[in-house]
Amino acid sequence: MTENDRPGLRFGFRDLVLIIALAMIGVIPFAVMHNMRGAEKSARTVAVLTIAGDEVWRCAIDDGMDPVEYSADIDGEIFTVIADSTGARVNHSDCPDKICVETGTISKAGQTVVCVPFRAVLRIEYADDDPELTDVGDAIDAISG
Amino acid sequence: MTDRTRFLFRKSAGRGGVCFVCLVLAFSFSACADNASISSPSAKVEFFAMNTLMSIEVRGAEAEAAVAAGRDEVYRLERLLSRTDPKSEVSAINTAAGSEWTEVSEETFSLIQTALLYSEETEGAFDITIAPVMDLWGFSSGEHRVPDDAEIGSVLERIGYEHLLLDETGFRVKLENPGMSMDLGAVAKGYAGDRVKEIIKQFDFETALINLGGNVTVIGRKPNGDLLRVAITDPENRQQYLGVLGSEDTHVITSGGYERFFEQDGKVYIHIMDPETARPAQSDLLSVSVIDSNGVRSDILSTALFVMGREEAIRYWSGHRDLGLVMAKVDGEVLVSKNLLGTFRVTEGKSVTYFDGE
Repeated sequence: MTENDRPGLRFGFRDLVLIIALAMIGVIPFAVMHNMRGAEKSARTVAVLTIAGDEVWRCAIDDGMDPVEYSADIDGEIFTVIADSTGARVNHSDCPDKICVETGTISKAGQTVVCVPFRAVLRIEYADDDPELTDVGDAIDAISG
Repeated sequence: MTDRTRFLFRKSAGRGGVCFVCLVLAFSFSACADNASISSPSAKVEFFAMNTLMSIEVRGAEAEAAVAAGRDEVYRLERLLSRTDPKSEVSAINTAAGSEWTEVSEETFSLIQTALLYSEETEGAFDITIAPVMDLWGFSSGEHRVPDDAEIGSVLERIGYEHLLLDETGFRVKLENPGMSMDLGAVAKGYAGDRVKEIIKQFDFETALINLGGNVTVIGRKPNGDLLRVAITDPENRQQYLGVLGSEDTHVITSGGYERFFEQDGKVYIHIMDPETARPAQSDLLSVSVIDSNGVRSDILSTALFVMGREEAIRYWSGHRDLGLVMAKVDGEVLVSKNLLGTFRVTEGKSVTYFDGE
């Protein structure tokens, strides 16, 4: 009698079926969770405007939405932002350099438009708060440039 | 069912049980590993300094203390190196231009000395005495204008790193000619990145992400062991990225004309000046990103290589192959140094060339 013929060590078809079934039971939750996380990452976004660190405006970005405008009076100077289905942008600023206006539209979570003279930051965020340090948007952790 | 079949089934069930337990354990451990990112404390500060928005984000046991110390360090450096703060050491040097030597801290002296070394190495493509040119074109005040040839000729007499004198024995600095002015803006953020990195490493932490106005520094990896992912802005469409870099313990610093510019009579004038002409750099590049473990070097070279243009930049890289370079050409092509192959993933649809020397 060889080793393989011994009943206790024989590996049969049913063993294979059983292992595959158990492996699937183990893997399916991973796949489901992974997909769910992926879905979260492509979730809805919002445009958020902060001035001097204080949030002053928040607007959900939705497909087909009508443009939504918000104007802030910063010590008598006007700073206007617009959100629409393509993203958000600074539409007008009385700041001297206008870098914020020239930046154009932002649409991806993690992107920002900064107006240094007015200490204003327009940013795109996921609609649901994501406490993850390493996920600022589209699986990108930081943007250079 | 025969005795033998029942026996095999029992054996199978036994093996299966073991497999099942293993899978459950593996699943649990994986879940725990994934949740480590949630259980580990994290902290983030966002603040304005050095004329830009900055953020420092740290995960780890001493995250709060680390981000606070990092922010304080940036503020300290701003007080030391700002050109607009009349109390800074740089302002003191500028005020005494053409007349007296100014004694500065060893730290400021060392940074100026490093900047001058790179000015020589890049044959003047990087020059910290460029400040009067920035003023002339209105990039310092935001009141942009195109100067005439006479003004350009005049300002050229007030710049030139060879007129910045250093006295090593007493840490003294002097701008040789009246009207000269230095600006460490193109190196200060890179230096700040180096310093904040050093400071955070003194704390108990796991991962840190430092973003000083688009100058990105990453330390460590994600809680699950993955590399941090740094995207580089596409200068042709700021909503998009040139690509994404898997990063660990490195600086990713980008310079491009798209960051600040103005238009007059249908012509675009960018803020990166060529010290040789005192006019906006006529580069065949739209942006240059330098990936390196040294923030000062990355910051300086991102500007210098932009001014030098594609051919000179690649020639420079041939002698400094430890650098990572990502350059966007005006025709839309992306040039990537070959040492980033496998690390930098170019956005789908972009034309890319990996270069390996001249």
